[in-house]
Amino acid sequence: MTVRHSSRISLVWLSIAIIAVTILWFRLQLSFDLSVFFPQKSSLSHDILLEQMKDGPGSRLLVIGLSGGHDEQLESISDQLKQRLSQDQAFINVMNGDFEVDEIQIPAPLDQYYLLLTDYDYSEAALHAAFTDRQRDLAFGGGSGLLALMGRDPWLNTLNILERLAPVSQNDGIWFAEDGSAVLLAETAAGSIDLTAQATAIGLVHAAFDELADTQNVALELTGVGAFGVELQNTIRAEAQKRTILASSALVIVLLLVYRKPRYLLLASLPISMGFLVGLAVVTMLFGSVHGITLAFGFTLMGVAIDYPLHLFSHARQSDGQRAITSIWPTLRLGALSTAIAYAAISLSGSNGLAQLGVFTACGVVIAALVTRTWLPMFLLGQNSVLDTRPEKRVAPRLLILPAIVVLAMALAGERFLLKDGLWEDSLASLSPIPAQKLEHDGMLRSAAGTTDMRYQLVLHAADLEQLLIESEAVDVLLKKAVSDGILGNWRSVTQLLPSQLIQQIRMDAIPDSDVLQQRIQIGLQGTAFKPDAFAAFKAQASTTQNLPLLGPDEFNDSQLGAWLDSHLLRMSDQWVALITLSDLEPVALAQRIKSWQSEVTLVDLQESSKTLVRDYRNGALKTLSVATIFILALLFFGHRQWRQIVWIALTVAAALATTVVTVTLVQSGLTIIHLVALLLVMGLGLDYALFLSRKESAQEQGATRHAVLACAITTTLTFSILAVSSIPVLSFLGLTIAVGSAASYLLAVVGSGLWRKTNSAEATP
Amino acid sequence: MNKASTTSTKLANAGLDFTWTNIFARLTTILCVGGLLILTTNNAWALELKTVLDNTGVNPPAKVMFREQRHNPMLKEPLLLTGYLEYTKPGHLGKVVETPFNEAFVVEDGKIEIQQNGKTRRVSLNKSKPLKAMLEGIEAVLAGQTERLAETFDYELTGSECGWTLRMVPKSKKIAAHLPVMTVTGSLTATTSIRIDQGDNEWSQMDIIADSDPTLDSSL
Repeated sequence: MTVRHSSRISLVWLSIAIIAVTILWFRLQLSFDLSVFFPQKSSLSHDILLEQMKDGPGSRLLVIGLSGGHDEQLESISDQLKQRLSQDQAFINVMNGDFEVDEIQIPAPLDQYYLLLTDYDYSEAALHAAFTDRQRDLAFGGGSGLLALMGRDPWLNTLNILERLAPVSQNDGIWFAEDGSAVLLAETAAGSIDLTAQATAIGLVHAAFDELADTQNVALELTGVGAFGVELQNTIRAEAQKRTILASSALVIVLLLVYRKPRYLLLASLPISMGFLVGLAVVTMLFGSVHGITLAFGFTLMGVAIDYPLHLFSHARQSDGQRAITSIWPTLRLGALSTAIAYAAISLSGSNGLAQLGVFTACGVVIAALVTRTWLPMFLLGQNSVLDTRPEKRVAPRLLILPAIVVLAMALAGERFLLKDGLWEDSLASLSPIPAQKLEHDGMLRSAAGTTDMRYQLVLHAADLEQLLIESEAVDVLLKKAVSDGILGNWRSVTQLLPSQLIQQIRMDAIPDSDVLQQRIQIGLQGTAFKPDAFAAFKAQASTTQNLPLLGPDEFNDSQLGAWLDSHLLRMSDQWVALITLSDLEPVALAQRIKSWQSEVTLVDLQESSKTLVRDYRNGALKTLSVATIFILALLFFGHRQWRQIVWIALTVAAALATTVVTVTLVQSGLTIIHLVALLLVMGLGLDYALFLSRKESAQEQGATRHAVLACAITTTLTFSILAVSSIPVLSFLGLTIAVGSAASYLLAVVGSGLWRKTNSAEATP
Repeated sequence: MNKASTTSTKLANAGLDFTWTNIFARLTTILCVGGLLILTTNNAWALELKTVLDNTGVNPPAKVMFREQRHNPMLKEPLLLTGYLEYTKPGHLGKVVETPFNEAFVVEDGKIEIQQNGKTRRVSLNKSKPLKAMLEGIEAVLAGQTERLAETFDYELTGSECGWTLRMVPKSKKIAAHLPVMTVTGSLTATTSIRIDQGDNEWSQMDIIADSDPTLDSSL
């Protein structure tokens, strides 16, 4: 290779790097919205699950626990904190169980539309009964807040409506958990998935607490989906940094020990760095933003690209870079393309997030291979004085298929007999790195507030909003019966806040004209101690209501009730969806009762939905990968046309994968999507080792191949073993799978290729 | 001139009208004033809240009849109620209205149970802090719990043991906004009335009927 040629190549690659960096500089936007990884096409129950996870009312609750002080001190702090946080727009609602009638303010649009939200009986008898009840209440005690309410709403239905809408129990005063902690619930305006906003909200809570007096011996604790998410993000970042430093250090040490050339460290990083830059630039151009998970997992999956320069270095020890790459390029190219096909298959798995991941890793691997082919060799020119130009006999190793078959059979038997709970873990909880103790504590704090059980929901959907609301009202009637039969404790439906136009009109028509109502009020007041004008505000409101436009979703846009409505009334593609949240239900009995209804309502178990979502996701990915496997086998055939070698490679890789699966499942109790991603890398590594150890080589090349494959296996196994011991499940899943997979792939390839024997006879080609 | 005259002369020269009559008059005045002061001071010391409440407090079980008038800006005339208060055990206070309608409220364990129209509701007292403070004040007065009263209210005790007035203002400004003042009056042995001002022209006065026996009726 001439100097001019080398310079040209360097210029090309540097230009590519500059272009990639420029693209990233101006267009790279990092995203942390997990919904990008959710499947694009799914069932309605999955859509609801995803919506609840993103923006459901339960997911937006920050649970605040105050402990350490005596009850009165905690009550005071709880009240003060509630007042301060309620003033911040980051919070829609802050509750601590203290629902004071004296302080009540009826939010819009309830304050104008309450007469249309429930049935009112405007007869003289009903009015008299209401006035008598209110008079009795005055015997008990009023207060200015209650008097104002009473004057507008003799039945005090507005209070009942507000109490029903609360996601928690507010009947027993300030909440105290079993351990004596005072509990507050702060509903954030931002969804739980917006971790930046959640972190801001958490900061506001801490700041408000720090500003309070008399908190020296009181501890503040925050739990809830948002709090866990922020903590998780910080924990993962810290843990990932720590593990990356350790793994990188281990890689450096191994490379120095194996090659004893410090500059090889820089050279080894070139292919993967270029692959990273170009892959990222391509994703940025295609998708606009890049998700943090794409970066993290993508870089991990591109770990196979570290092997490419190691093969070159090992073969260049007894030669020069150009001769070495010429020798190994066909094999390396085949391995890189096979891996790229597998990674590209991920992008067809049905979510934008996985599409990003697939594109990023496939591009990265291809670029890394091309850099190894075209650029790295020039840095290894003339470095070795041992240049044996005599053509050597190339022999193919005697490949032993039996070891792979035996191991594969044992692994499959192990899976059948040892893994009694099955292979896959479909629960999303298994991915959670939150310690069980913290989750239990969160549950205890929430139970003090009597939060609604978000697991079970009734779902209605219709193309037309009015039709949906009418169906929901019909379900309300049936649910009322279910409550009286003891199957259900309570429910909250959208029609309790937004009745259908039909019902609203009926209720509006039921309001008597002003004069008639006035007459009935006067008759109703007879026998009571109320002044004739005591309920003038009620009469005025009735008159106003008759002229109001009917209530619709738009009236809630600027209301604090808007968030409640949004969480119970969803717009999904061309459908309106109403969610009815349930409390204290008997799921089996309710499911049977629902079957007897002639209604389209569906009882959704979100916990079960999450499992089927994960299951469908995984099955989809497996199907795609199965197709990719066929393409890889086809590629291998076109690359080698040696059936025995292809069968050996396929069986060796399969055996390594099966061994990895059984081992990891026994240790970590079930495979998750994360394991599936890691198994892709194991497949890439296995192909790499098997291709190199099964190719026809001279004795000198065999030595270099053994050296290279050993170096690859050691570096991969060691670096991912460091991840395997992480406390973060995601990192530990990745680390253990790849470490075990790398070791299994290496051992099976070495044993099956007979390299452990001194002689290795087979065909010889000059 | 005798010695006394000499003394008188000297005192006279000192500007004092020093006759024996005057001395007696002055001594008497001093004694009366001093005595009055002493007597008054003794009464002020005696009019301590603890003493008053110890004298008037009732031990459970106890029951007293009441007449109550409730004034409210929504009412054309005060609501007149009669019934009885019962204090069956510490922390258990009941108010039973017999006229003009039957209604009962029982306060226990931080909750108030309302029996109305044949229905019973239980509501946490924390739903209304002013109500909670009011009921705590009433129980503290009835039961003679000085320290408990002092925890929630600033108070002023005036009058004498035979006729005293206790004016109570909630320490919490938030509660005071809805319950500006409670005024309790009493005699040597009993509380005679409780007036509760809730602001905005809403107030009530409960008169404890003097001849009611503050011991529990066996029929309860």
